[in-house]
Amino acid sequence: MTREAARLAASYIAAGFVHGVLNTDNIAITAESFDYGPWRWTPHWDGGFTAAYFDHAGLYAFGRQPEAIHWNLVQLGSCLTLTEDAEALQSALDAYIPAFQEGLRHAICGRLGVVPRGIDPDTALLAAIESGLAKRGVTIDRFFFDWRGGRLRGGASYGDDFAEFRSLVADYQPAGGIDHPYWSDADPCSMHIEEVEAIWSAIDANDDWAPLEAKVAAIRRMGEALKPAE
Amino acid sequence: MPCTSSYRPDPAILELGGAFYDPVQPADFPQAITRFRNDRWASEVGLADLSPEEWTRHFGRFEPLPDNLPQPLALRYHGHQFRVYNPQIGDGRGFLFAQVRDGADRLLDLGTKGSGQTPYSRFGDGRLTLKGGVREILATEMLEALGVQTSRTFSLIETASRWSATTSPPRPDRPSSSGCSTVTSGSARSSGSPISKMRTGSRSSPTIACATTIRTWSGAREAVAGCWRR
Repeated sequence: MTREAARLAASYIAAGFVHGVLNTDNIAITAESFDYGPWRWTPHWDGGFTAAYFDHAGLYAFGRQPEAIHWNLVQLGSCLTLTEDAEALQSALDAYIPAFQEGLRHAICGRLGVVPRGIDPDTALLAAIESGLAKRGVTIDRFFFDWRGGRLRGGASYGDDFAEFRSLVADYQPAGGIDHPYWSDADPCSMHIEEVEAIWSAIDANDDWAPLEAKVAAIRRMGEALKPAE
Repeated sequence: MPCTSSYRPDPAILELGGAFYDPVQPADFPQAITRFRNDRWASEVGLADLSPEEWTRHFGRFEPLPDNLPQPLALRYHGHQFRVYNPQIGDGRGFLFAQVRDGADRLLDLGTKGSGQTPYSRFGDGRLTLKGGVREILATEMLEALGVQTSRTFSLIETASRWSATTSPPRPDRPSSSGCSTVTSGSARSSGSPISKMRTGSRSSPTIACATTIRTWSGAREAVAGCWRR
């Protein structure tokens, strides 16, 4: 479960997702999350981005989610000390950080659509992506869309912020194809708050469900495009 | 009811015993308009052939599915919310409606949100806003497409367009409610099975809904709660 929970945390980060309320009762024992209330997708790589208006302390901010999920695991571990050996539980919990790092490099390489090369090169690539995205010149979704397969597509220019990344990614091979028509779209499929509110407004004001239906179809199409190659 | 052979009911929670849940009655909604039905996941669990009437009967009125739970169960559990321990959280506005196996033999829960009050509602009205149900769909679809381990929204049903005698008056500072079902899924392991959820939902000011979620099995979480109480 420690490994699966670490993978969940890594997949949140790669997705740019902020659950908002990572209480212990919102993650199943299978490390599947559920109960989505005040969630948001962060447009930019901003560790302090918070989804819930009532989360004043930023406890469940974008960048603190891996720590929050780990904290939840520790609570589960303390329950289990009633019947299980504490040292064994501790060593199970110790697996979290390496599993998260492993999960993150695979999740990021997966979203970028490149074949992982190993801990050292992947860690360097990750650091270069983070440092580029942290300048907030480009959204997370746009970056991964433009660089799908590890090669720049489209007309955007990625300047000095991404110099390090450009040099590192040149050594990576694409994983799977970019043949799906989604990759020829003008823009990536995102889920930022403005669009969420617009979809809701159509329903609320005009009982118009078409924008929701269209969005679900667009999301599923993106899901097809993102599927790892067989 | 036209369930296909891939409908495999398995109300395994009953084996845990009555200490883990409270049988509850769903709210009596003045209406039930299906707004979203996840045919992809309905097909996965053998429920895609339900007629529109059957769908609202089961996911709006919560009439039991064949050979499944005879009555909805509000699950008892404990946990930390914003790091504060609560020994009795429990399902406050949802319940476990049914349990099924998917094609991979994972045990999935069909759980609800906005289906009425339970012994754990405290000051809550047991409802979900329609907007909350729509957001549940958007979050789960997007997460699934991005490869995150998540519950899936199975159904969203608008249950009231305004407050009436049967929906109980809204609290002054509270949005109206709606119902939603989510299905989450999980796989059985030594520590328990995975969890799945479903939700149904309805229009915000004052529209309510009920959502059903499909998610991996929550029983393991309940088992941990039981262990803690000992």
